[in-house]
Amino acid sequence: MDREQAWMIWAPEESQWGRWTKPALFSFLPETLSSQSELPIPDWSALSQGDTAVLVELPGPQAVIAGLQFARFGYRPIALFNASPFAPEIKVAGDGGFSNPIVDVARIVWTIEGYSASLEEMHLPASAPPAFLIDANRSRGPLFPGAGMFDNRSVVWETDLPEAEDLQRAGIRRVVLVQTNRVFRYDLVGILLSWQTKGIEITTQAFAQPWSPRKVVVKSPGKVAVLIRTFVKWIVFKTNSFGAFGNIAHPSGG
Amino acid sequence: MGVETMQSQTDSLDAFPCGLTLGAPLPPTVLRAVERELNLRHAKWDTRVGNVSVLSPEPVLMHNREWRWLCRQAESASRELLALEQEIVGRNDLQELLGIPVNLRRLLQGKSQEARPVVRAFRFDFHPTAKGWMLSEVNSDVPGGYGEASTLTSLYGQHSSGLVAPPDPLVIWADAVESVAMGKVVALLYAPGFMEDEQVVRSQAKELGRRGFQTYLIQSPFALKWNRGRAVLRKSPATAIDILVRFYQVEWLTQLPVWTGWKGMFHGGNDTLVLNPVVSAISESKRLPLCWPYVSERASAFRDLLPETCEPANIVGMTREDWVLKAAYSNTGDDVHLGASKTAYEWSNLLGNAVRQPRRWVAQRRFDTSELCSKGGLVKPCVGVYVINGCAAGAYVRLSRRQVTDGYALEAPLFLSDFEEDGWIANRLG
Repeated sequence: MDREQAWMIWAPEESQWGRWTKPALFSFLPETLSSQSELPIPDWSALSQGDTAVLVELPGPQAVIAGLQFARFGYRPIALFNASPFAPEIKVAGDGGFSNPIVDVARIVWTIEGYSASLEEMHLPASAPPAFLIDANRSRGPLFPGAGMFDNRSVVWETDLPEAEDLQRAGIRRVVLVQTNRVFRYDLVGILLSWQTKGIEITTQAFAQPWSPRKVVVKSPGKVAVLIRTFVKWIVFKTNSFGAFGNIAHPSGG
Repeated sequence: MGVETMQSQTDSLDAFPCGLTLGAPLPPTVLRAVERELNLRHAKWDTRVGNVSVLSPEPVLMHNREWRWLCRQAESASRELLALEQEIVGRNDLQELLGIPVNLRRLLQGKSQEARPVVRAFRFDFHPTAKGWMLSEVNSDVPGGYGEASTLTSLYGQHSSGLVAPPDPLVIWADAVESVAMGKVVALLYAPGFMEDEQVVRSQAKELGRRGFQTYLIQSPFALKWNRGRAVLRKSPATAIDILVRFYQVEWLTQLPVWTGWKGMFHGGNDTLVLNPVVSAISESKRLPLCWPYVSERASAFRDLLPETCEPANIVGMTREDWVLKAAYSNTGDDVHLGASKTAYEWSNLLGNAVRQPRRWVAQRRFDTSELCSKGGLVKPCVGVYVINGCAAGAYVRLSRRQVTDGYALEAPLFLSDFEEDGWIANRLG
């Protein structure tokens, strides 16, 4: 299997959700993927319902494996990791950089590499509902990284996930947020709130626990939380073009 | 060329105001293959916004004569901007008028001509209108789009025979860097969290890597330690940097804590070159036209191409549909507000805010970009012409479905030719 084939498996054109897959990580896969690993059989189960989408927010590689396990229950894993790994082993020619990344994105790449064949073998139908995969560690790290660190932290932008109308048009009425601890990270709150406001039911499910999603009401962050987050965004992530929290955001380039 | 032929060319060009049209679209399967190639091998990761592709299936075709005219205008404007920078760099009053942050103004004082030759890259964003070409702005601080202008054009060219591309701006930029480099170690600085920015510096790093440069991507000025104009990477072993490519907006730098060492870039120009130099903050300000009455540089080419520009207070009570409010420092359509797309209430709030903070905003008379009829509907072209060290160097083209060219605009390659020889009769400007 080569890099392009892996991409096609994770972002199939026949699935309406495949177009949401983020390509950045896939560009760091080797041209020819190494031997494939066997996917662990989950000791938990999930109910696949056509009107339900899953949003898996777990630490990097775990999110990939969980997404593939959700695939066993009929969901299509959609990788929304939008960061670069920058481990020296997978550097592209001509690039240089520090080999001390803040977020361990390389392991996500290796996990995708190791299980792509497993995903292919599942032959998911085009109509499979989505399991969106995001890294719970995506924006963790020191406020001011030390010298020599590769700052590959990332955030989820509003345009990274479908709008409520897109979900509803596809018959999705409910989103199950799968986490290890119920924390609404700052970049997700706006998206969840937007979905909720437009009629999508938000539920949470503890990872690897008996399947019983619980409905939650996502609330707007308090003023103190907003202040803290604004400060963090100001220092670490400048407001960008397409923006979370309703911000209009932009990259540096004019 | 005979008289008849010349007349024929004129007639033909009348059908393509501003000498623009769209070429035959790539078949969907080919377009998807181009997108995969960009995604997987050229570090171009933002070919989609959400699930919608922003790659135009159709290339933009421009008449050679028009291209040459645009290049001349852009080259003239770049010379004028450099002269303006030199004049304004010693004028604190004008820097204040431009909206340059106060901590930056202090550093710019006395920052005149660089000690060594530098590389200056501009991108002039031209728009075709019924009255000819108009310039919406110049990106002189951190012009992006190199990868698109280079690789996208190259990949389309492989699938379309007979198309001639303008010069490759990435190659010309790297040539320019190579020509001034005293060593082979380059750091490329960009803001963390923005893959759009990372992909720009990766394309630059890759091009430099081909030329034997050792490149480091850094996300904070703190990664560097400055000593008498020489930057050294804070890592073990310490590595001296010959060139710092700054893809980090100057106004963002000024918001960083002092201890990050961002001010060190202002002491560059000796051993470590900073590209673009921070003095570019002067020409980057969208308020630059407000300086016309106070400078000796006439800047006639640049001035003639820009729409009328004035203080926000001057347009209070005027028809909002005729005006655009822009942040003094804005990029890719952020903080650009068209009166025509706002309600009276929204406009009143925006204008009120701009009047209260006049140094942060500027009012620009709205112009209507002519439209091209694409397969996906009407689109408004924006041709961003690069000028690198005084010479025009290719273009980054976007096709917007809206008046403002923002992140949702389609990206398209540009090709040049003489229309009648190639029989271009496809689409016309609306």
